Amino acid sequence: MKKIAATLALMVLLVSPAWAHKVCMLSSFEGDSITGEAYFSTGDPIVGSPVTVESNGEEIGQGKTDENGAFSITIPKGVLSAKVTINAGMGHVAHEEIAREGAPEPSTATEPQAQTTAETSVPAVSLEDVKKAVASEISPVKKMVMDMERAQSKPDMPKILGGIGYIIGIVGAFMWGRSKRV
Amino acid sequence: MHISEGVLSVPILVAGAALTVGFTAQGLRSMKAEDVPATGIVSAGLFVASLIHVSLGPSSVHLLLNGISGAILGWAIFPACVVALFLQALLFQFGGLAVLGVNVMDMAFPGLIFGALFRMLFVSRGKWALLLGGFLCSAGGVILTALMTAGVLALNGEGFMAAAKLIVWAHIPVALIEGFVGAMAVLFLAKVRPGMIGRKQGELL
Repeated sequence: MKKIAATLALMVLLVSPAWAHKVCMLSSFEGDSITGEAYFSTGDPIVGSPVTVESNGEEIGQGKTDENGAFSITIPKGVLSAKVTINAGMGHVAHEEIAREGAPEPSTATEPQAQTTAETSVPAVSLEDVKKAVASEISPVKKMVMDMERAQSKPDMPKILGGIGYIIGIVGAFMWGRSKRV
Repeated sequence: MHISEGVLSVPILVAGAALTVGFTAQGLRSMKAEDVPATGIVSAGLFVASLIHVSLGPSSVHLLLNGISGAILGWAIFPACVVALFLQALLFQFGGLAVLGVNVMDMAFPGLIFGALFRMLFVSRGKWALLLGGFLCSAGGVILTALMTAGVLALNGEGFMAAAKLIVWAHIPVALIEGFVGAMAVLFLAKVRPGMIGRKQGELL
């Protein structure tokens, strides 16, 4: 029994911050493109892997991840939902379904009317400037969300210990089942 | 070495699941009551081994430990693998439940083959044969797993040669590390618990 405990302890110790891989991806609409990041559950970026964007079963764009695992794919106007797929090779694939909710489509047709009243007092602020300002304000928040997602995608100690616990439980159940009833 | 959910076509998934069910049934039949604890320990080892990750440039690979597991368990590597991969799919979303059958076959079958080879050819021929056998069979298990994964992806439509080259190259360092780990494990077992590799105490070393 001592040996078993030692073996288990050793196995747990061996699992330093090195984890196995699962493909993770975060993507969102940004203007008329879809941007995102792809990484393994180790936190390592997925470099140079093909990313495709589908909408209603049709491919509407494709691209590749750069050296930081980031990608940006231009899509046609009027697309409201899309399925983003990354193929990291060797059977490692992840999909994500995204919809344009928080990020309204860039529209240029309806802006002039609203601006006429404001023009008198405030110097004209173009829609582009607003977008840029908002984007730069949001970017730290976005990064935080991504970091949180990243941290969550790593297998953590409770789960590992839980898994080992399950296995011990299964062994116990088996041995109980096979043991001779008194 | 876990093929993700949603990559393979249904016939491959069904075939993998059917084979796994058959082999696992055989594994459970072959298990005696006294084999259960060892099976559990190996299962825990397989479960954790996939978390030990070897970083290699752009690709990310991990230990499998299927060769040495097969040497210890024989047929019982199938139930051990089913439990380990099921828990990985459940807890870490590695692979998935639909591809469980295929992933178990990819991992346990090479373990079975190389484990049997190890027991037949190397076990009772002295220390160096043990070390060599442990190394070759552990490394062989990894390489065969890589080839089988490539084969499955090829059946699914990716060109076999391209996929195989990529996967095998990526796994050569893992195979070497794993061969080393396997040799050490075998030596340890031969000294402390020869029963686990099919020999009586005092018969080896």
